[in-house]
Amino acid sequence: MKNLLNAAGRLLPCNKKLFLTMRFSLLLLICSILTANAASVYSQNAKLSLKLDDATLSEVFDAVEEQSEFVFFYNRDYFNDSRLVSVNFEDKQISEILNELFTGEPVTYEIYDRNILLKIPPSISTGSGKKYMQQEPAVSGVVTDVTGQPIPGATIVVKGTLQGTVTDTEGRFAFAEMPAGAVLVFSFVGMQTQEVPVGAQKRIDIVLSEDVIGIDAVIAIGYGTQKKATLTGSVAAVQGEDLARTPASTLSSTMIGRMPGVIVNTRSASPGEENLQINIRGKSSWQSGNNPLIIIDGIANRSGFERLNPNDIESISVLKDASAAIYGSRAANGVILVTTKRGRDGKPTLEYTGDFGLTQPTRVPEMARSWQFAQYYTEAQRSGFIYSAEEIEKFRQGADPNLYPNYNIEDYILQKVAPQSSHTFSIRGGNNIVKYYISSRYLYQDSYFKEGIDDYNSYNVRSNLDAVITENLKLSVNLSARRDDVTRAIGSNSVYNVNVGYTNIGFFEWMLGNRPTEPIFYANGLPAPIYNVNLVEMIRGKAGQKDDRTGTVNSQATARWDMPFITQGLFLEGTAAYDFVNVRTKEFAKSYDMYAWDNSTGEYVNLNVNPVMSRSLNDYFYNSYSTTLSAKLGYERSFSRHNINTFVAYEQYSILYEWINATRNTFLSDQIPYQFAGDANTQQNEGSGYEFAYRNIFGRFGYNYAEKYLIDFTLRRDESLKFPPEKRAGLFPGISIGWRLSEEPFIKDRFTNVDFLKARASFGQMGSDNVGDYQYLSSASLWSTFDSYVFGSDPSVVCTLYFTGTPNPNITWEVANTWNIGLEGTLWKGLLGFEAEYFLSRRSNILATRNASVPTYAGMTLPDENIGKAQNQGVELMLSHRNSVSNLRYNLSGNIAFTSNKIIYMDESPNVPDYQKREGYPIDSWLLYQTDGIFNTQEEFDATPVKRPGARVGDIKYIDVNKDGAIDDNDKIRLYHSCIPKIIFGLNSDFEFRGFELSILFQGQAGAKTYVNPNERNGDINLPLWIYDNRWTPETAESATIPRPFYHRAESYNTLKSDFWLRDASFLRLKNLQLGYNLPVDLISVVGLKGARFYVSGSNLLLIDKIKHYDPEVVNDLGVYYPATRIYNFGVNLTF
Amino acid sequence: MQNFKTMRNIYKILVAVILSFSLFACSDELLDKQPLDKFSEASVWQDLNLAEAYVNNQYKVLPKLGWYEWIRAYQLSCFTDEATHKYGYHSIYDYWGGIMGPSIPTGIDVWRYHYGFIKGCNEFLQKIDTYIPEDDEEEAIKDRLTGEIYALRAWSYMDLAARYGGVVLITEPFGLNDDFLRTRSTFDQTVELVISDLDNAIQRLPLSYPDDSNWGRITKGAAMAMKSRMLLYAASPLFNPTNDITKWEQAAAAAKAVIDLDLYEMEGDFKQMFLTNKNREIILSRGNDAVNNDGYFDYFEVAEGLGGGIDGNDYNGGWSSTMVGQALVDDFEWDDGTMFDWENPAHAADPYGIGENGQVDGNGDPLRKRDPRFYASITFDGSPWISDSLVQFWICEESNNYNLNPFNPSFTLSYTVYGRNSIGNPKRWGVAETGYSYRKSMDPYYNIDKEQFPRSTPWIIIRYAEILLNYAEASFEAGDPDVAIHWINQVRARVDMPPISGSGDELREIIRHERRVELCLEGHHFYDARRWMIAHETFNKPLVGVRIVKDKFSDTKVYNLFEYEQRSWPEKYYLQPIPQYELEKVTLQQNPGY
Repeated sequence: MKNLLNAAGRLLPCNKKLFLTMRFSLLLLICSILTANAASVYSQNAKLSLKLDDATLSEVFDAVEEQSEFVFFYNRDYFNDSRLVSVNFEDKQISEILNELFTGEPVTYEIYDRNILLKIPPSISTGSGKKYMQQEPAVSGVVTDVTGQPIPGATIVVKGTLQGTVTDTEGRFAFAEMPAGAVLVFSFVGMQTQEVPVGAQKRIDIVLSEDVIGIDAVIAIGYGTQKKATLTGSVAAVQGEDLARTPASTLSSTMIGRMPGVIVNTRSASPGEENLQINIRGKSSWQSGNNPLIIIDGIANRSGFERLNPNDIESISVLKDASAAIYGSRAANGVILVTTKRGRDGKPTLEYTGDFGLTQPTRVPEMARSWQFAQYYTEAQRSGFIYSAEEIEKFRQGADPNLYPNYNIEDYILQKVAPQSSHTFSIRGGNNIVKYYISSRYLYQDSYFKEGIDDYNSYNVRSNLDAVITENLKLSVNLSARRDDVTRAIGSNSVYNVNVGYTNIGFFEWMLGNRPTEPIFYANGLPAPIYNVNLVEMIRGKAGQKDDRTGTVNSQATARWDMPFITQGLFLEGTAAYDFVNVRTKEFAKSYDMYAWDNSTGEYVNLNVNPVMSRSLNDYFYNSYSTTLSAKLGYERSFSRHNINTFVAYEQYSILYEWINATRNTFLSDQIPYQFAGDANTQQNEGSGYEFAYRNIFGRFGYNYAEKYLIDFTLRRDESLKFPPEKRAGLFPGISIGWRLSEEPFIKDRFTNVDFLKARASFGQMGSDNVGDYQYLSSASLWSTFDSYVFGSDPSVVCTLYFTGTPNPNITWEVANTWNIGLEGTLWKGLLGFEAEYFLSRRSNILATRNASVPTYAGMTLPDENIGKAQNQGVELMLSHRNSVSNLRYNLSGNIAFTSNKIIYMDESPNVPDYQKREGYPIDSWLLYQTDGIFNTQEEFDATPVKRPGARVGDIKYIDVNKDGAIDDNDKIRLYHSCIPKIIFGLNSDFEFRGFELSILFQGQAGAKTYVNPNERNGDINLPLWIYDNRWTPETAESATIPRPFYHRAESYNTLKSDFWLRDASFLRLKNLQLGYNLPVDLISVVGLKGARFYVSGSNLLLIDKIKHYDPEVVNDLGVYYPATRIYNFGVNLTF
Repeated sequence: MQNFKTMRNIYKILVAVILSFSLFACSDELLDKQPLDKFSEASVWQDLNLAEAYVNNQYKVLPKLGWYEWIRAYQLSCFTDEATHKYGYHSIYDYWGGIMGPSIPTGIDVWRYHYGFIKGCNEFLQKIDTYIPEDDEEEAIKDRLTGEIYALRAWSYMDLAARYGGVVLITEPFGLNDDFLRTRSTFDQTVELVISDLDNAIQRLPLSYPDDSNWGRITKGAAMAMKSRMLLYAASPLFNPTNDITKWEQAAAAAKAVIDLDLYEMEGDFKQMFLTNKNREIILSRGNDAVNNDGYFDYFEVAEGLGGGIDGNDYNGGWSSTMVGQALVDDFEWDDGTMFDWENPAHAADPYGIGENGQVDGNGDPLRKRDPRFYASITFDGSPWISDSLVQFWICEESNNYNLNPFNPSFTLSYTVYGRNSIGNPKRWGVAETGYSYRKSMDPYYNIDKEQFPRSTPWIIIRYAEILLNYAEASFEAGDPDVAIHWINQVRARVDMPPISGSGDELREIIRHERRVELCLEGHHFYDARRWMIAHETFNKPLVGVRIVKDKFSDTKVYNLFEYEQRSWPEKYYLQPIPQYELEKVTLQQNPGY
């Protein structure tokens, strides 16, 4: 039995769950975003068969409700239920039935998805119902959403009573009478429930905001959507509007701290070339990478995830367990689903969002000044860098800027704050034929460098259209195009780091190494050379610049054909996506004026003697074309309480890319950076191509009984070119079950505070193919001419060819078996929400090379082989609390995830000691010498029997772990730590009060260690102040914590990889803070605005950690990297 | 009724599924792809052009001037008493600190390097027979390529043997699932393989290539010269403890065979010989082309301030990486054949024999006083760089409290004037701190400012003078001192050095001395000092440099020797350690002392 409003607008007694089970237009809006959704067309798909004789209308409605998911809403006061009708329908849509029922009656109806609102004009209502009494309503008002759109069908009840009503299509409501001291409860599907004490108010206008964790919210899952209430997998979801609160230029930075189990680390923040490392539930593999699969609007392998505009994003879902299994061979590291916004019914809404931010590095280590540098290397007895006390004093005074300068390099290089800004315009609207979402964005980001030319500009347009072509045929078209321009001064080169890939550390490396005893500029302002370059001039682009221009076009079209003529709920959906990426890099180098000063003559000599010779141009062009085609046959239908959701699908993907590279030198002029202007005798070029493809068949069978007992089964067969034909195909099953305990009478009846409680479990088998291609083939590559051989008395290059590696004809997938159990619930109407999960993932067939057991004398370049095993397990907890106290609405939520991985089996050298083996230790664990501080005193030194040759007082005290009387490689031990945190947590809170909004996000990690030893690069270059200040000297022998000054190239003693330099990378950050104010609607409607919101926000504002001198997310051993960004932002959001 | 309807619907669904998938059934070429950037293995062995490209790649095992390879070329000198590396490349500090060992194998470890190339050779030898030549011409090419591969494999095993002693002999490529366990063969077995490979090569290779574009490929003569070197090493005290005379005889015969080819001769201009790509003295060399070579060599080796000499801009570039030590400098005789001696005031006042104010002759050469090979091998204070530019490694002190020992903590400097290229000059970074830098294969006309890419200086791997010295040494040890004296004098005659004579141990010293001077800084002494078993005496000394202090009034220079680098050379260094990275994987006999 479903729900009816009774005559007095009261709810019938059995309808306690009204709020939870109503489905209304918002749902429709959310659902319509997804090409693959079925909910939006329920009313058209659902075909009903009815045969009743002489029934009242309410009996007809009951029959319809019994057979379908439809729910009727009407005011019994005005409803003539005495009329008896006879009906006989077979396979009719609801609209047909209603049209016939009300033929000749003054009743109109509106269908909001599964909800049918009957409208009976009071003036002409007839029958035995109570007459409408013309009187001033006691309380009335309008319910709107945050954008000012009216919400039809919102429910308003008087708290503690059964009295209630529903808003009309304009969002209006009215109560004829209102008891004293009443509190109204406003609720709507997918919206946060609000309670308002009536008091003396006659008019109450309410803005409902979306309920992000609402259990009736619909979230994207693999190839479909699912209500959170009936979800059986572990899926974390976040809404686009929350992401947009973090004023960051990369999408994954906005995800930080908002989803349990999603680890995002900022390894570099260089504009346009950021490096953010995403690990879902930590690491499970060591060689093939742990990057999750990213799906943008249903299409895999699209480039530019980081570059998506957060304002364009409806939601992001992260599939963490077997729910990812439907992505088969690439799902083992988790899947991130991005869904962009789509149009929705209503008049066009024009929205502008502008952000203006100022950025600065979170941490830059302070460097030693010239006199400290001179002091240090004099103490280190570095030949050529030894200064007298008078000279050091001259440096300290800095009175002679040419010979004895004293400056802070950061003053020359870093600007106080670097601006960034973004402007987004969007138009959203539609009707029942066409819906549209169109947006554009311009983003500008400056680098930290003072007067630097490094910057990033991004231009982005998107158009998402949905059209109903015929009753059964719908078409969705997405087009998005983007151009990313990254400008770099030459010298800012990318550097490869095994942990994080290519990162741009160029000028930071230079800056942190600058030898401060030499001037950057002479007293007269002329630039001076250090190491034959002038860093500041380079940053200003004087040495040339590199322009990277990336154009990306993503296009896709989806047609959905409902086939009710075959059977209700059957549909066929086809999608074609074509992406095109074009990269053009132009690197034009030149020489610049730089002066040598002869201190004996006082002359300044320009070193830029031959600018022509040094001008060179490198052009690089890259194009990639990728195509995804898919067809899906689905069937979604409910039979009484049996709900079926199933499909089978085919998908294929192919990519081709091609690149060419051309170079010439000796340009006569720097006016025209094109090849023709260079010396043809110096020209060189290169080029190559690459092709790849996948073919997949997969399906889902989802079934639930009364949304209480839930089961979901997926199966996928993937074929990947990475593997030999006979190993190409793999089968990947996934199964998950759920049980909504809160639907069971023994919970429902006894524990009325339990609104929602669900237990779930899943198992999935997923793959990872994240390894080099064609490793099963023996093939030969040509070396480039740059790396070739020359023959001839007039030497010239000959072709050289080499085998790329020993083939492995047996190479195949990595396999991850993942188990997950979870319990989630909501109590006391949201006062407490929780979600707890445990997961266990066992990865086998891990692709790794047998480097450890195949002797070097075999001379082989080993292929990846399926030889590793690892395990990853963890717990995730999420707690939330939401409440309203008079006008203050707030919610708090915290999440924490514990993960730990360990290697079960890997190819290890048989002759390494057990305490160095990696088995049983985390992937990425450290192998380090053990230390016990430094030799502070001679006594301590003498008392230590075993020392490394060459050790002196003030050196690091290494421990002879194996007690063999020598400090050597065998004294390194494996540590249970890595730079991937074992614990991550986030604490989010939102407050809303009379138009003010405050949101605060704390985020952090624990159980991670990172290695920083700037001493590894000392020599002729500068050292950070914290090394200088804490160094060992005879005077500070008792208290010193850093080894004595030394010259690294001569003494590797203090730079051995040891735990001395391992730092605890735990931290707590104030990741995001936003304070916003919505101007009152009355005020702004005068100027034609529907909404106006101003906000100030900040990112990375506060950091509590133990590393101090570096951002704790640093993974560069030397401490040189482009640090994470602190942002101060002002923003405005206007809706027209 | 309902059930029947459902069944019917399911049937319809199935039909629809089959229909929809049949749409894609024709797309099998989707997954039928080959790499676009690579050749398949089969095609390599079916196409002589590709096979030749494969052989070309194997040539990279040979040393050259430039990044990575220089450690196998002239920078081996840094592991001898000839020189040191200013920036400590190749872990030379670990080496001279005496801590080279399995886990610190230092930059001279070539285990992985050579076995990588050996694998490539083995692969070729196993697969080339699948190629069926169509005619005699193709047969000849195939034969010649096979010969080159044999010689290249021999090169690797020769180098391994000379460094590690007997090594693991791998002559066939491994498969992925093979049993990888092998043991070390003896030194003699290793030499046997080298000689048999070289004999195979000698049989197949031409005396010369008709086309000059093939200059640099291994010839019959080059393979014979390698054989001469291998047999000389094998006969030497380190590897021939019983002093088996027949080994010396074999070595002498192998060298004689090269001489008897009558293909090679000594070039007249010693200095220029190193800078030309092709001449009659070169038996095997590795070229650099002017565009593609990694042009770091000149840049890293030129003394600071010399690169831009032409335009008088001497403030740019130059790293002086390989700094020569005093021991080598002192080994150059005066041009009358007498030895240099610091105790002799005349010698000490003008040690480089260049006279006052760096007088030069009409050719821009200094007034010759010492062995001309000195001026061609080493850059020193006063040596001419580009005709009119003299290197200045002096400093001029202002007060007299200048302490010459930079390792002394009370070291203070108060001078203000510096030679253009001198240490202490605040604008100087790439200065030769020992007072000498490497010169032998350097082009004095190289100009960092001017040249985007340096000139094409080759690296000479084997030259005729070495064969003559091999022959002289082997003949002497085999009991024929007259032959030795004859050929040593041939070597000396080219640079107008007076002939030598002598006998017994004295003659042995003369022969070894001649070899050291003639072949200095070419990487030979790294092998020679060990095979003669003199290194534990000659290398166990600090590397000495010179500080030249110019009087600011009289311009007279004082040459102060100082210990630049402390050195310790344990006897275990006679053989390099089998590296730890290999011992972790497989149990092999370690060399003594490690």
